Amino acid sequence: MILTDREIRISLETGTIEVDPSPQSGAFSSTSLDLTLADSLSVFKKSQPGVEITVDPSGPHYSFRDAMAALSTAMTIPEDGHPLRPGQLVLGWTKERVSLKPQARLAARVEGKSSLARLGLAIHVTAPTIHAGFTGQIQLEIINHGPVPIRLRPGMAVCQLIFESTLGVPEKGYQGQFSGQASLLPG
Amino acid sequence: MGRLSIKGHSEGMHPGEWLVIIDTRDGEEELFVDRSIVKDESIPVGFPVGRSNGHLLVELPRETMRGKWRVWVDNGQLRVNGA
Repeated sequence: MILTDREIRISLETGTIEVDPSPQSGAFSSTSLDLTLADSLSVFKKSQPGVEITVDPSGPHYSFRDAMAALSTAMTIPEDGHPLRPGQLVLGWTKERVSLKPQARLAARVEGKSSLARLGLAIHVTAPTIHAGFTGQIQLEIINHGPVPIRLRPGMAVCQLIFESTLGVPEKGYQGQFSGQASLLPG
Repeated sequence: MGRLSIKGHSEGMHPGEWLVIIDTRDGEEELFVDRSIVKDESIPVGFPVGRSNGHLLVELPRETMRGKWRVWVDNGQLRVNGA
């Protein structure tokens, strides 16, 4: 079930959901919470004519870090924004750090905003799930599917988070079968 | 709840995250995590979800860059509170 604004507020008050910085009143809708864009981007370099590069993510020597070092550069969005070209993909992050407690029976989905979708702006590439127990700023795969550049500005409401209750607690949050086993080192 | 020892960490792609490397039964895995969850060179993984021949199956806080959520680790890499 999707949480309503009232349930999201209660969860924020009780600490089962943490959002930092705290959302403004205008960030809520009936069943979602808007999040804003942080000022860091990872921008993919333009390909060079005649140079063919292939990423092999399931290959034995694949390293995401090495691949991104070769393919992208980090940048801070200037005050006047960063124009995202048609067809361009950049990685961004939400300004807000979100935390879902493992035992809170909550997960979430990050989705785009219809106002930006109308311009062709997508904020994820088929990976919207925020799993139970997640902590951090949410990475966004931002791509401009529209015909003209779209200016990205720090602090713009760029996506929305939809919270859902889960049926039960995930195995990792349940002591269950390992309760009392002495072979596991005490913390 | 369990904490998994990591092999090391370095700068992430965003100032708020670290790239951590962990040893698993099947080789090294790298994943980006929020800096706040890395403490004493370990990351939280909850309780193990399986065990076999001295190894524990744990679910990582994020998907690794090879696409794995659950990995087999050596029993000694995990510290569990409340077990």
